[in-house]
Amino acid sequence: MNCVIKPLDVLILIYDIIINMRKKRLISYCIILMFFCQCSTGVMAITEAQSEAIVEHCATIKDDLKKVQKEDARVRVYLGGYYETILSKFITPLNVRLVENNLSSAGLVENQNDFAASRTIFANDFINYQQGLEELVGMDCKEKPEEFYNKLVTVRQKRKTMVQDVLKMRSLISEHVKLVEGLKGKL
Amino acid sequence: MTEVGRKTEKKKMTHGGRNLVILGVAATVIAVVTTGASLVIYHNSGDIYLDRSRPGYLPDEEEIEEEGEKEEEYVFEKTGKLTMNVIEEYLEKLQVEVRAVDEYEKPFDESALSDERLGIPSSETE
Repeated sequence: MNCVIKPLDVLILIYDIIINMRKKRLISYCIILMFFCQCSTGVMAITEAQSEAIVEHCATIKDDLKKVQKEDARVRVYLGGYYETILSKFITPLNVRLVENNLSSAGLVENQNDFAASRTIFANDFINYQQGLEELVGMDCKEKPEEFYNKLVTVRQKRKTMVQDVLKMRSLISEHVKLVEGLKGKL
Repeated sequence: MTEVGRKTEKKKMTHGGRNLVILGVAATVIAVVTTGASLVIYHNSGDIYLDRSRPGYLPDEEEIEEEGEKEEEYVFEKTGKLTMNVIEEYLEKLQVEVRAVDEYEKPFDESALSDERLGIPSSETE
């Protein structure tokens, strides 16, 4: 379990056990609950070796992160551009033309809506991810290696979301191609 | 003031004006050169992409074309009869965009932020 046991929490628990009074029981339960909630929020304890490595290679790690940040920004700009082109110059005009030819396909319209929605999600998730990465790059890893590592774990999760978003966009493109190929039989 | 004195004063003023012009030109040249150099660094370092990845900023049209090696701008017509040939052409042109998207192998590759890549020992190795 990803959990950091803080000395203060332990003291509160000991205090709770000692007092164990009716009046305080409700408050005690709340404190215990908060303690367990904290354990499950994904805060990770890092090993001493990790902490030492972060402190020692702080500058190098930050340089690597900056490189990743720039490369990701580049990928986002270009992928975003291609998604925009596919939507505005292909999918949308095709659907308009299909309506005009009385060949409107519910599948293609749904695909267009999904594509537009997923593109917005992709853009918003990227903002969220880049903000996290920017905060990470701005952190003092020499002074707070544990905080830095925990932030890194969070940013990794956000990056995973980006991968999912890109896969979703690609699957929607494939779905669109299949649906258009299916149109051939109707012509 | 004598005639000679007046002439010397006039000469000094002419020199002052000329120096001022030289100073202005030099300042402009320096400003242009340094601004140009900073823009080149800004572009080559990739910082430009950081700024342009912000909401509302998308690549210039010519840049998308450059990356995708497109020959010409294609926009599917919203009007007209739909025939097999039209659909074939549509799919062909769409494939150009799809190939451009696929050129980015593993975008946002998860390993880029891994412990190993950043030189942090993995917690499992301890």
